[in-house]
Amino acid sequence: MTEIRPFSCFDLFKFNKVNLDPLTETYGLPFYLHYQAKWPEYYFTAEAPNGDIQGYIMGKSEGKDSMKQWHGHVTALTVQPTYRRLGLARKLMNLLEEVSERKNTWFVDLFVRQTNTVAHELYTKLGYTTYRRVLNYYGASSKDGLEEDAYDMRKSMSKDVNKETTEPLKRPVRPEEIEWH
Amino acid sequence: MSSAQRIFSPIYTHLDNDNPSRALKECEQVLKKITKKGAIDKEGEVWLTTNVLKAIAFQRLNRVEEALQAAAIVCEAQPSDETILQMLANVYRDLDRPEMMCPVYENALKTNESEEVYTHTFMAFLRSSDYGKLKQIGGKLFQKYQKYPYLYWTAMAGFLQAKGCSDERMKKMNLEIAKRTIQKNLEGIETERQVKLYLMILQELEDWETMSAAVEKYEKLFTETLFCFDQFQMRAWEATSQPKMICRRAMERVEADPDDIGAWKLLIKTWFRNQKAVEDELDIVGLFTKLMGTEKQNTFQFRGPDLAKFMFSESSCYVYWGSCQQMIEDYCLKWKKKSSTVFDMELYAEGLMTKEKAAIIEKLIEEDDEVPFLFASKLPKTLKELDAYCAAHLLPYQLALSWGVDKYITKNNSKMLESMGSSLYEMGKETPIIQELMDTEGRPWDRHFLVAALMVLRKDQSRSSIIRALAILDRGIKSTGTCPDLLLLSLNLYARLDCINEAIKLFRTHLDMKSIQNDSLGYVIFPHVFQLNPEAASDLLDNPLTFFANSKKDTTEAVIKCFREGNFAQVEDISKFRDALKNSIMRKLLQVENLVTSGYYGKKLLSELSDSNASDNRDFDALNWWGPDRKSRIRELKKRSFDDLEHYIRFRTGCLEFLQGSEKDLDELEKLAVVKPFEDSEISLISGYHKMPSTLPRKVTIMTLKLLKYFRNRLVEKTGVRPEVAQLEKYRRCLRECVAGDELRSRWFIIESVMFLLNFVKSNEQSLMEIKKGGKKIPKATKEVFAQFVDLSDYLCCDQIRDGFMGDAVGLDSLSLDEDVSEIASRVKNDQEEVRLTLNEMFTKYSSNLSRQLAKK
Repeated sequence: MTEIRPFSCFDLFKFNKVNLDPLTETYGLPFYLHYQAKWPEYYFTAEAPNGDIQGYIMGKSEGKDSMKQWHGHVTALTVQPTYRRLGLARKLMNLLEEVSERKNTWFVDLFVRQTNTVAHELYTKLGYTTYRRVLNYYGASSKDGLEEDAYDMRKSMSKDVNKETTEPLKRPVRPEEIEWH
Repeated sequence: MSSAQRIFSPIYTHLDNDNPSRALKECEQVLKKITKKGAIDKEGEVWLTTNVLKAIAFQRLNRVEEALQAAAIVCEAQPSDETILQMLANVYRDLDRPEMMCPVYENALKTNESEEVYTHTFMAFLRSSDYGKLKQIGGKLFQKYQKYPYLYWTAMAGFLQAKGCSDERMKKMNLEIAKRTIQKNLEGIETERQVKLYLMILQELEDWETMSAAVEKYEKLFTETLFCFDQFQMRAWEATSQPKMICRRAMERVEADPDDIGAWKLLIKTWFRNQKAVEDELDIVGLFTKLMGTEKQNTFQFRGPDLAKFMFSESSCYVYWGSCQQMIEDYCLKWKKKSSTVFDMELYAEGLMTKEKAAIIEKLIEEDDEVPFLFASKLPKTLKELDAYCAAHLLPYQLALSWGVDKYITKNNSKMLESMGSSLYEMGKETPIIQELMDTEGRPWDRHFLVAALMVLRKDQSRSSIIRALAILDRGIKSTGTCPDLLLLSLNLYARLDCINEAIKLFRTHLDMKSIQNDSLGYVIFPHVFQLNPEAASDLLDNPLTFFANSKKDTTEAVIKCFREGNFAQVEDISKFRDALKNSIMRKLLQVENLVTSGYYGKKLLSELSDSNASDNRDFDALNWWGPDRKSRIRELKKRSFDDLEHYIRFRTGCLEFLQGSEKDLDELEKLAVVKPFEDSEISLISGYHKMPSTLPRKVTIMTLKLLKYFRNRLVEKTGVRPEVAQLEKYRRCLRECVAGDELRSRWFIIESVMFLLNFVKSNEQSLMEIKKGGKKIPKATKEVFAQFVDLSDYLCCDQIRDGFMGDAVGLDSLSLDEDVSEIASRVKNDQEEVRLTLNEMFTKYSSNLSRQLAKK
């Protein structure tokens, strides 16, 4: 049982049950505010009946339409451990896709760590396919000091009738080759 | 490269390389050359730019006054060049003086009416929150350039001006003007963002008729944001008393998503408030039946209808689905494999008797047929199944904690749960389903350790219990990837035992708390760290102080971005958030403690500290735990601890004011030294709130300040009366009691007193030297007072006090620790020893310094 509502800045004070999870990055304040000011339509909080924040999603739209690169992007999707296995991630992703459809984008994309099999599996179930591998996308972590590759996963929106934008690339790319980053 | 570029290039390079000192030198050289040449007039680009760059360099060096002076020189020249204006605006923004830019831009407009200067003028007024002027500039901007975004800027400025009005008439008038501003071009409304602003104004005006018409008219423009159109429409229906429409829409939403709690709440609330008007048409019980039927056909199950039944039953006297006990039992049996079930049920069991709750728990234990897999050494094949098994097994014990059914909160159950957690770990760690998990991920059995530890702490919160709980948590931490609950609870428990070094490690390294978490979760560490490890505190403070220092700029820039993007609906939320950060109680604590404990009594932050508004941004619900009336107890603790914290901050601010030389009434301050009793409880221990220092150490501070006042009057200003002997004796007694107490953090206040005396000696070196030298000019009474001062200082640094610092604060050996907790016990002991040694070292350092200074005199 969930109430999905637009993200409020005040959620930042109480999202700790979600963000203390080491897989959820806590960013600097300007990062959250930038999304709030620029793409509020892509920013949702899932709240439990007792007021707990169950999870949230933040995203954006970017890229040039003329080059079929106008797309929705999932910047962060996270659900706190207590509320996992309730279909919340799917629900939040559906919302982001619905917004992307409304904005007439070609596809939605996201990045996932190569080792995060649980997330990879989830996105695959939601219809995302690996478009390309991005070498050393994630900087060296403090834990093991190693860089890590990312999978750039995509799902075509209804505008991309022939699913051209999700046709997998044959070779991995470097982060600087990503068009809109 | 142009000659100007050649001049500025090295300055920019030094600034970019984070070397403002070199940049400053370079600026000075450029300015010298200009003066020598005398060829460039003072309004020249090079002269102005160099001065702005000089201001930037000063600002980066934190030399605020000099930065302001350099910026003022540029202002005097009344610049109108856009680049120079922009650089100057950045300087004032970074110096937190955005309002200084408003007159500069207004002046610039006299000679340069470009669109860019106009928009920057608008933003300057927005930065300084002068909404009246903002509206004026917005209006002029629209008039001059006839671009519609400016019309909405003007309307939003009017909306903000109205929101800030305390006079209802003025508020209405400003809203009317804002409304009319948009109505100038109703046919030109072409985006969702523009409609939203119009509807926001109408809503605030409570002009429901116009709002309803506008909602209908512009429906097609809602192409961007989900739920937004619905929200405005519902509000209009509510205001125009159309409950049937609301119910119908809510039912549609529930049918589309049976887990939508917002829709259920709206439906049930509206249905019960308007039962007679809507019941003929809307069959709410039938809706449940229909949804249950749908659920059977679906592979995916919704909890929504099951939980909505509780909401529905709570709002009515009807019993459609059996007794409350039966409903809860049914729910728990159906949803026992979800870890959220215990939280779902905490809200609805309040009316049950203990025996009814116990019966449900008993039933769940009986039904727990998943346990045998352990004996067969057969783990489920998927992670999902293993998660489900663990959740189902834990549920009755979590409910026992949540509902306060003591029968199940036993030492044996705690041991059984921990042992189950350990067995699962041993069996699971090499299996593919666990091997596939990332190193940093939690494990299905983590909460077995958490519940086991919470059971120990429910029984009592003695030091022995805390150590036992820590030992369980430690074993849990070793059996998982990362489990924030285990780490956060450990942090809170270590902090309670004054093991600040372990707590810091968990805060900074393992839990990686940063950014906004400094505000919401800083309370678990900041209040203690100043007194237990002041050196680590200064290190730890860099991050939060920078965060708070930048927060105003960050939030203000976000508001500006909202204007530029036309996202006016976000402006209020961000502005309120900015206020909450500005008035944060944690910010005030950090600022005052930083100034007092560092021995730097600078004045710059005093005005903010004296501001009586305080915002409580602390999150007391960051840890998963279960207890009766959890939410209301958290609220109550939050309120109580806020009072405790605020009282302490007022006390410390008063001390700071005195140290800064104000004629503070110390008797008034002494009243603030008396602390209301703050009872420790399970919830304060688990939540991580540690009451602020008690009356005794605060008294040490007050008495030191009082004596300092006497000595300052007698020895420096040569006025006042002599301190009485009885008073000095009382002070000595207080010091002895403080050092003998079992709270390690109290000892800091003695060190701090030595620091106060030391600062007094250093800042009055000349006067004291003359008294010490003696001579006929020094009255005998003054010499006697000086002798008293030396006596007092000697006593403060004497062996008796020093010995107190050498003694153990907590005798762990005396605790009855009958389990395998030796590793944790020695970790606790070592950390306490480290804290004690650090404090001892600081005491020795400052007291020897004081003795040396006095001997020198």
